Parts: sequence; C-alpha cells; structure tokens
Amino acid sequence: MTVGSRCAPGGPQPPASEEPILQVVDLEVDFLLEQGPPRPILTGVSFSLYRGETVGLVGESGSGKSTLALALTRLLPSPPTRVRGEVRFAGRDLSSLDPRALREVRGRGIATLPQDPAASLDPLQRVGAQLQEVLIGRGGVTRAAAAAAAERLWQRVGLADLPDQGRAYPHQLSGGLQQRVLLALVLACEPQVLVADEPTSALDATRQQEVLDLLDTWRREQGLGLLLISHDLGLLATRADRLLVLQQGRLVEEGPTAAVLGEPEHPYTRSLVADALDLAGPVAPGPGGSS
Amino acid sequence: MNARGLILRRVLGLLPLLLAVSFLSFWLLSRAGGDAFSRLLADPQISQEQVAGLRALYGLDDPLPTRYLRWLSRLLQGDLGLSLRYQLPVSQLIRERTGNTLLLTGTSLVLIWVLGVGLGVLAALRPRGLLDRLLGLLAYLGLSTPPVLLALLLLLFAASTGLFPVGGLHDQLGWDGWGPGARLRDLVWHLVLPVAVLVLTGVGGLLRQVRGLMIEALGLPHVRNARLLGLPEGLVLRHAGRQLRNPLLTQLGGSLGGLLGGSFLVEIVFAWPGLASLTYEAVLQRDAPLLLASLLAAAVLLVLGNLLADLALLGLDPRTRHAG
Amino acid sequence: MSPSVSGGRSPAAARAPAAGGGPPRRLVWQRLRRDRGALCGGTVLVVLLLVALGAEFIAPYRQDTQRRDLAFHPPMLRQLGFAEGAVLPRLAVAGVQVVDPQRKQYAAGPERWPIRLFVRGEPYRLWGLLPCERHLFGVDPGGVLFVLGSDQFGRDLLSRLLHATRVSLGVALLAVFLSLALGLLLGGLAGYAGGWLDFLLMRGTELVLALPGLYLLLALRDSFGRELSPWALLGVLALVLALVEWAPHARVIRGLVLALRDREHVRAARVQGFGPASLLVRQILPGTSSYVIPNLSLSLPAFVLNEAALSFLGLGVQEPQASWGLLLRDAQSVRFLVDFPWLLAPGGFLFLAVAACNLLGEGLRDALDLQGVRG
Repeated sequence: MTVGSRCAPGGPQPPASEEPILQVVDLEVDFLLEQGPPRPILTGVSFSLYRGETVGLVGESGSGKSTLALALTRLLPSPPTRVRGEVRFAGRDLSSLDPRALREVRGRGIATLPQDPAASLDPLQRVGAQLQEVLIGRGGVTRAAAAAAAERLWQRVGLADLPDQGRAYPHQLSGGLQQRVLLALVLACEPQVLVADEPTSALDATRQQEVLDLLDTWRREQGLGLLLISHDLGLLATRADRLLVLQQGRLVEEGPTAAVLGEPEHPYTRSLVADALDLAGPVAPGPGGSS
Repeated sequence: MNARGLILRRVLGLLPLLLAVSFLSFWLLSRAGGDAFSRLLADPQISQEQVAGLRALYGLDDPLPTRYLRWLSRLLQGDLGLSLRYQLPVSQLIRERTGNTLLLTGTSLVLIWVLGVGLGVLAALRPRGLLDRLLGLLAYLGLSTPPVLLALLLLLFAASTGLFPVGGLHDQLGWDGWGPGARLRDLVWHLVLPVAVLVLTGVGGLLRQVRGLMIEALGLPHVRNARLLGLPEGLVLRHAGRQLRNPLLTQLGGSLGGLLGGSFLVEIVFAWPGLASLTYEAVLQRDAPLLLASLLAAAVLLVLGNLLADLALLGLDPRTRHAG
Repeated sequence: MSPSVSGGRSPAAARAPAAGGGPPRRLVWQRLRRDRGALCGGTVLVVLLLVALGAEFIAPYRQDTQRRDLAFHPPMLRQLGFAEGAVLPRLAVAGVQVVDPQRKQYAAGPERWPIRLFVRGEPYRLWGLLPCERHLFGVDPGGVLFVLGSDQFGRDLLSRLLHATRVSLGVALLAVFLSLALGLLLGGLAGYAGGWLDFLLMRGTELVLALPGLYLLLALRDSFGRELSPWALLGVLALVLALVEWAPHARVIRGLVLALRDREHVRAARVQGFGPASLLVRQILPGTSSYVIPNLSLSLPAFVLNEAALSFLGLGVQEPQASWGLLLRDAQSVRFLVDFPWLLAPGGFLFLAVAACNLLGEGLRDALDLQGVRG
C-alpha cells in the first residue's frame, strides 16, 4: 500500500533533524476469531508524530480509529488480538517493554482521552478522588502537594467552581463537565503525547471549541504531540497540522492539512472532503455524533 | 425523598409481609390437623369429655381468624406460649436456638463471601488460565455436592479419626467450670465441620458469579481508562472491584436465605442445637406453639438479612443515595 | 451465573435471558453438541432415567426382599472372582458364611455363584402390570449378590437404590413441571394482566420467599397430614416441592412477559383480534422458552435435594418404598456410619444426579443464549 505523502510548503513542519516523539511503523492488528481466519483491523499503518504538532486522523466509524488509539499503548480489548509492527515512543519500541515499563509509558508518556466521558469515569467514586488517585497513584507525591496540583488542574480545565471541590460523583455532572474532569485526569499525567479519540463527539458545538482550544493551548505550552482522532473532517481541518486518512484499516492518504484538503488524491479522501463541504462548509465543525 | 424516608418506608413495608408470613404459618399448622391434645385422645385414662373440655378451655375450637388474632395479640405482648415438649417458654428456646443458628450461618456466610470474592477475582485475572480452570472445577464440584452428603462424609471422618467432635455445640459434659478461653476453643472446634460443609458447598456459586462480574468489569470503559492513565494494577483492580459491590450486595440477602435453607440438614446431621433442629423436633412432637415461633423466627432472620443488604445498597451507591 | 443448589432453593432467576425467542433450533443443537460437559450430563441423566424406568428389571432383587440373617453385609467386591465356564471363565461371586451374626461379620464361602445375565429370579410386575421374573443380572437362587452391600434388614442396597431412582427422579420431575407450570401461569398472568392482580401475585411471591426453603417445605409438608396412601404421598410430595419453588420462576417469567407484551408481533396479533388467552399461549409463552428449557434441568437438583431432605427427615417417602434421601437416613446414626460406610452410596447417586443436571442445564442455557457463550 502506498501512502500518498507530500512535502508541501507551509504549515509548521518540524525540523528534519528532530526525532519524532511517536513513530508507528507497519502496525498491524488482527482480531483472532474463534472460528475462521483472523480478521484484520489495521494493516500496515505507519506515521510519525512530532512534539508540538497536531496530527489529525480521520476515518469513518469502523475504520479502526479507536483500535489504533488503544494499540499504541497495547491496551486492546478482548476478543484476543494480535499486534505486529513497531510503536516507537521516544526512541523505544513499546513491544519490547515488560508490563511494568509499559505502565510507566501509559499516561505519563502517551495519554489517551477516551471517547465517552460518561462511561470513562468511575461512577462510584467522587471525581476529586479520581483526580487524587492519578496524582498520588504512582507514589512520590505528598497528599498536600497533590491537593495543590489538583486545585491548579481544576482551574486549568475551567472547573475552578466545581461544586464542593470535586465531591461530586460523575452522574451529577453534565457531559461537558465530565469531559473536563477526564481532561484534568489526563493533564495530571503530564503526558508527552496525547491521543484524543473523538474528544468532542459528546459535546455541543460551543463546548467542542472550548475543549479543543484547551488542548491547543496546552500543546503549545508543553510541546505536546497531539493526535486528534475524529470522523469529522471539518473539525480536524481547523486544528490539525497534518492529516492522516484511514479507510478500512489502511492509511490511504497523508499530508499537510491544506494540501490534503486542497487536492485530495485518494477517491475516499475526495468523498470525505466533498461530504464535509456539503454539510457545513470547509471550516465549520460538523454536528456531533459518536462513531 | 431523602435517604431516611426511603429507609423508613422500606422497614415499614416489612410489617405487612411479616404479618402475612405469620398468618400463612398459622394457617398451614392449623391445616396439619392434630394438636397438643389429639394425642391425649389415645390415652385410655383420659376421657373424650376431658379432652373436649381442655380444647374448649384453650379455645382450640374457635374459628381460625379468632385463634389467629388471639395468638397475634399474645405475640405482640411478647408471649409466644409454652413449648409442650420442653415445658419452657417458647421465646426463651427461640432466642437460644436462633443465636446458635446465626452463629453457624453467620460464620459460614462471612467465610463464603471472603473466599468467594477473593477466589472469584483471582480467577478473573487470567480467564481460562490454570488457576481459573482449577477453581472452576472445584466450584462445580462444590456446587454439585449435596450438603447432606458432605456432612455425613465429614461426620464419618470425625467419628473414625476422632480429630473432630461428632456433633453438638459444646463438649458433651457441658462447659461448667470451663474458662472463657477453653469455651471459645471448644466452640470453634465444634464449628469447624458444619461450617466446612456450608462453605464448601456454598462458595462455588458465588465464586463463579464474582468471576463473571469481574471479567465484565475489567472490560468497562472506565477501568480501561484507569489503565490508559497508567495507574498501578492494584488501583485498576479497585476500580473494577467497585463495580461488583452493588450486584453482589443484592445477592447477599438471597445468600443468607440459601444458607438458612442449606444449613437445615447440616444442623440435623451434626446435632447442632439451632433453629432447624428445633423446628424439626417441633414437627415431630406436634409442638404447635414452638413450630409456629420457629417458622416466624426463620422468616424474621431472612427478612432482616435482606433488609440489611438493601440498606447497605442504599447507603453505598451514590446513584441511589442522591436519587430523587 | 449458575444457581447455587446448596440452599435447596434455586435462585434460578440469577440471570434471566433476554426476552424473545431463542436462536434457531439447529444452532442450539450445534452449540450443545460441541459442549462436552452438557453431553456428559445429558448422558448420565438419560442413564438415570432408563434406570428409573426399568428399575424392577435392572435390579437383581425386589426392593423389599429381606435376608435378615445377612443384615449389613458389606459390598461384595472382594468376593468377586471367576468361575470355570463352559467356554470362557465368567464373573462369579463367592457364597456367604456368617461368622458372627451379632457383630455382623461375614466371610466368603468356598462355593462360587456365576453371575448370569437375564437370570430367572424373584417374580415381579414390570410397572406394576407385566408379570416377569427375568432380571438383567443376578445369581441363581441359593447364592446372594449384594453389589453395594445390604441394610439392617438384609435388603440389597443396590436394588433399593435402583428402585429409589424411580421415586426420587419421578417426584422431582413431576415437581419441576408443576413448579414451572405454576410459574408460567402466575408469572404470565401477573405480567400480562398487570394492575391489582400483578400486585397481589407479586406480594404472594414475596411471601413464599420470606420463609427459608426447608422451613417452608417442612410446614407445607406438615399441613398435608401424615397418613396418606403411598400414591397420594408421592403426589403430595411433588406438589409441596413445587409450591416451595414456583416463586422465583414466576418473577422471572413476569419480567419476560412484561418485556414481550409490547413487542411488535404481539401488538400485531392483538390488533388482529386475538384474545388474551391465545396471545399468551401462541405469542408470549414461546418467548419464555430460553428461560424455561434450561431451567427444566437447572432447577431439577433443587427438587431432587429437597425431596431427599424431606425423606431424610422421615417426612417424605415412607418404607418399604425407597428414595435416595430415605436410604441415606440409615447413615444418620454415627455408629452405623462408621461400621457400615457403604450406607453412604445413595449420596453418590444424589451427587451424580445433581452434577449431571447442572452440566446439562448450563449447556442448555449457553446454547439458548442469544448473547453467545460467556467467558
């Protein structure tokens, strides 16, 4: 599979000398079924992500986006899966790491902002306690320091006036607030790479922009590598430096956003662009909907 | 409605249920025919007229509702009558025996839950692994072994090795002159086998259930999220385990009911002086006041167990606590 | 998950299947055939049922034949040997010499009694009708064959066990059908009719569930009186067992019916003018099959055990009839248990029946489960 890859001028191209923080080479994921041959979910996926860069990954539902997000840190759900290929984070191949080292990479190295905020928070634990857990969980942080850090994080994600300082349970918060709590949990890990899997599909249009702005600010400040996954090309168009187009488990097109949108090479990309134009114009975000 | 209101409503709701249970028991016993005096009929020294006089004296010929209401009004005054067999106040017997049954079932319940939850979680960590298969097999064997058979096997073991007592709650000669330490040791020694029967036959179902729930919980998005955040495995398991609390708590009441039923024959086989033995004797001796009270005591135990489980559920789940 | 049978009362409602018909029959059969446990359980159950059917023929003796001189004879495993046959040596059993009648000590005698198939033995009536005298196996008159030993009256334990299989399984099966029928009727009624009838029936289930299994069983059994003819007794036992167990079934079925009542096809049938009765029978009850069918097998152990419990307590099947529980009653005395441990053999049959039902029932449940098999 050849990937349409171009070197277009413009866009914040990272210096060629710098090593990508995340490099995926020939990643393949198969679901092993009880009967019959394994079902391929991802085939020969390769791409790189540099510090301070936003890469958008677009594809329709079922194209393997979420599987890719989980495969990066080797957290694939049952049914049993087979993963081949390399995921290099900061120069290290993750497949060679033992579970303990892998756990160190998760969160602190590569963090993932999951799709469904309501389901991704523990319903039986106060949100404040969940944040504390992330801050203290790895040890080395005193309770007082964690409390101070939590305070900063709540402010950061715009939850300074959270009722009762985090004594709320997730079901008492709206979807937008839940997403912010999740964001605080992820920020608490101080990751170098953030994979945001449909981060805004559960939110209304204004909230979407707020969350995306937050991610953007943070990327700039911390030099974060941001992989933004969405089915919504319109949304990615305004945010991503580069675009990856995923169709049925294969990357069919890759390149700077403007180039991909301006002159899509692959027919699938062309149809995506046409759809996005049809729906709401090239830059306006499309209506939310989960994939 | 606030939590206190919910609890109050739940407790008040039990009263009609218990009333209905008492009437059902009363009705069933009255159907059984024969009472304390029917045996006297066979006695040649007592005339039919004397028996009839006694029956009239005790109001046994009144219609059922009258008798029931009379019995109920005495019950409400704390008077459960006199046991015909023991010639003791029924309330005293019930109190003593209920305590013993609670000791047996309570100990077993705690052990079953500690083992069932612990081993179930352990099995869920590596589904289809060696430990999981082994535990699955043991659970299945325990589940399929009739408690009465295991009780008899252990009784045989105790009798032929002399390692354990062959029944009863304390030493045959009684505890007079024993210190508290010696009494406790003796009690535990007598508890071991009956508790073992109840635990071995009762833990399998719970183990399987915990395993299933835990496997399910480990796949939940928020548990996966805990992993994605790089939390230590112990914390991840705690997130998953928290999900088990509610489904398991709803089982707790039923689990007590199962134990009360399951311990019946175990009490008989090991001559454990509990409610089951008392009920059985009452049936054999046609001791109606005693039987009635034992049935009611068993129902109260079960209903209270369910209530406690419900209240725990109400108190622990933030979603129900804040509901409404 | 699986119902615990330890309580004698099955929380059969532990996991109710999704409302709706099951997967197609062919698929169910395919899944079942791949499930080795279910096949084993099914086979054992079929064998037990065959034994129950042909007990008189399979057993070497009648259930009430006494040899008082040979009470508490141990199982004749050591006495088994070979005797010279015409062509091949054949299985034979040694004769019995009484060493000490007081202490029940026996020794093997010098003579050999060949064990014959289709041997002519005690006359009996197959199913109480057909006069027969052939037994599946046995020894010629003069010798004795106590494969599993004898009881205090010198009755052959194996023969009594085989006859007991008929009583125990018969009563339990009858009770299973009765309880599921009650559950279907009352649960279906409650779910379909709703309103005060639903309220009343559900309070009724709560009432039944408020008394722990065996306590209720004892009270119910007692209420039917003690003096009953043998046949009436068996009927009463089945009825009593069913009355103890119908409530959880009724609850689950009510839930299923509630869910089914508003399904498209049921609504369509209602619009077409089908009456409530034919709606229940044709449209709704088939939808409960994925619950009812596995529970025919899954709840059987509870009934077998409850019958055994009653008989063990002396309130069930009465002598000279035999049931597994009644036979086990002999082992209740510690002295008997230690000196004559073969009296525990009925417990083995109990275990076998319960284990087989569990395996088959779980297999059936998984096979009928639309969600697929769980990890």
